[in-house]
Amino acid sequence: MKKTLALQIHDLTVAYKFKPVLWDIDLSVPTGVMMAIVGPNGAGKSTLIKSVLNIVKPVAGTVTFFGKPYHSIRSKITYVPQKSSVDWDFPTTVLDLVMMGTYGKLGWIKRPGKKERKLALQAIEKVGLTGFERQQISQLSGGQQQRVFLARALVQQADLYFMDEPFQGIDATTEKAIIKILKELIEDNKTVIAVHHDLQTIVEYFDYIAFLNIRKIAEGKVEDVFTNENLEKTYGASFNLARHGQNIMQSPV
Amino acid sequence: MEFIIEILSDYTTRTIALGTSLLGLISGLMGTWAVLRRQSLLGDAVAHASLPGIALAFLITGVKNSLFFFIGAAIAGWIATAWVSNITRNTKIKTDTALAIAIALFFGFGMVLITFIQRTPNANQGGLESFLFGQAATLLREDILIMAITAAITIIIVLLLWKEFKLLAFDPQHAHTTGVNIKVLDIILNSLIVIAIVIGLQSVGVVLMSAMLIAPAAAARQWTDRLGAMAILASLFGLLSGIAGTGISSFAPLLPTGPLIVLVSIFIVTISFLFAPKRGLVAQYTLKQKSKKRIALDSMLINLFEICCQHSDPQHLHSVNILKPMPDYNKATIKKLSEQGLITLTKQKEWCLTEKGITNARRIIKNGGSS
Repeated sequence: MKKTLALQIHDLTVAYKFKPVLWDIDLSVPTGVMMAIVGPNGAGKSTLIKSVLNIVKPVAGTVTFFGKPYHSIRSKITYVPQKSSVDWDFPTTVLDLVMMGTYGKLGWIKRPGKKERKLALQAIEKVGLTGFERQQISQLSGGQQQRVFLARALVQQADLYFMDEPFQGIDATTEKAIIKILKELIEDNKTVIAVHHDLQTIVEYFDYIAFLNIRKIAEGKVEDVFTNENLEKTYGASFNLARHGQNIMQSPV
Repeated sequence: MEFIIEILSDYTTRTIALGTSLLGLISGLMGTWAVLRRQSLLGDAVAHASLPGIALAFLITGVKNSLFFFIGAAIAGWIATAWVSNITRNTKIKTDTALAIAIALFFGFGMVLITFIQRTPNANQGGLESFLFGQAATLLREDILIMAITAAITIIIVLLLWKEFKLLAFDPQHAHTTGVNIKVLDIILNSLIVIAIVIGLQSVGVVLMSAMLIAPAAAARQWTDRLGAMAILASLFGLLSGIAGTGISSFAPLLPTGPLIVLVSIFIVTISFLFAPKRGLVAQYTLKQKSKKRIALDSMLINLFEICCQHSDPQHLHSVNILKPMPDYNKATIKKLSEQGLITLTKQKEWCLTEKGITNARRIIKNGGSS
């Protein structure tokens, strides 16, 4: 059986004014992979996610999810933004924030009810925040903030998860806990696409990878393309992980 | 009480109080969203921008009619909002710069028009300049009716779209990905904010109106961590400011109503910033002092414990004088420790740790803090 592609991007170009931020990107992501998007600062990693989700309007290109355009399959896709993108002093509780993930499906005007509440409580339990339901979000630590964001995504019961730097500024325990939840999603044949910075954990966490620096440098299975050659192409010639004794794949001969 | 009876018994005062409390209520309610969306300055731009709208409404219709003024002001305010958000989106100009330019441009244009109208020979032209600083005394029954209807519509829309507005205010990008039409919502919310400002112009004036949008909401945020409670409280603070401002000026007719309303709302803000539980300055200061004292006690207890550990018997008697070279020694701390039953003091000015003191010290060392 041929696996459908979770995400397919053709010739995607994004420009702010006349400066291209992403240029002519082609990308095919199979269903059920955990994919890292890596690249230096300003490579357009966040912009790639945002333009795919139509938060930023691309100037050219087509994007399909499971073979369909975004607007017809929106409920199957969820987005976990960088946690610094919101005001954590907003007057709301953990439970309420997680419930916000259910609002889109509810439609306008309708109020969330028991079903939504139950979903939210389950998601909160899954991310290990039981007991924090009534907590003010301003009192959460960085790791807890990231867990709440993940819970808000989980209640959407999506098939494709976009995450923008999910491990930014959180401790090792939380990172491991989040990875465990994501791996469970993968086992359920969900797809996760995450912007990731820590090249040391690529092999451990991800099985698929895309190298990005305005243009796409390479994409594929981590075991095939996570090579010094691609890292140098992406980050510059002076970059060499092996020299620092890091764990990377050997370049294919 | 007399105060309220006085307001209610006089017809003119009653009309004005009704109008100003309505404007307070609505600006408090919509200000909640403006404050949470960090759009505090937008209110200022809308208020100033409405001036040319009012002037143009008069020039086009040739009559002084509140409804036309409302409509003119709302359209001009709305254009300013759209213009600002367009500029910020499509150029490198930042929001604050765009707002400042919008305020100057629209207000300047408005002043030119108002002066022009005043200099044309038209018996009807007087009174337009009262929109600058507001003149609550000019409120008529018809004005109150318009205000009441708009207020009712605003409240109903806010209640119906409560969860959508919450999404928009907290995380619009995520909301967009859940299928909520952010653009339409943004237009609706901004329009309601424009309306809230416009219905207050006649009483409070172009210059001070933005304060009515921000002050009640900023004060309300201090007292609660819940969005619903914040909106209700902000509406009440606005309403209270309206009634109190009107009341004060009915006792002191030389004082203008609009600015008094704004001053009352600023007074509420000051009280809230100082005395609100948890977020208030006083509460924060007390909390800091308390934790400072606790840390001092903890570190003293640990120091005593460490001295005692040098002896085979942890309850070995020591002279108080031995403590004096310690960096954070003071008599009050020693007294506090003995009051809490952590050490005992003998008459010979000797001290020793109690059982409770020893267990506490061990726990502090283990947990890195007593609570």
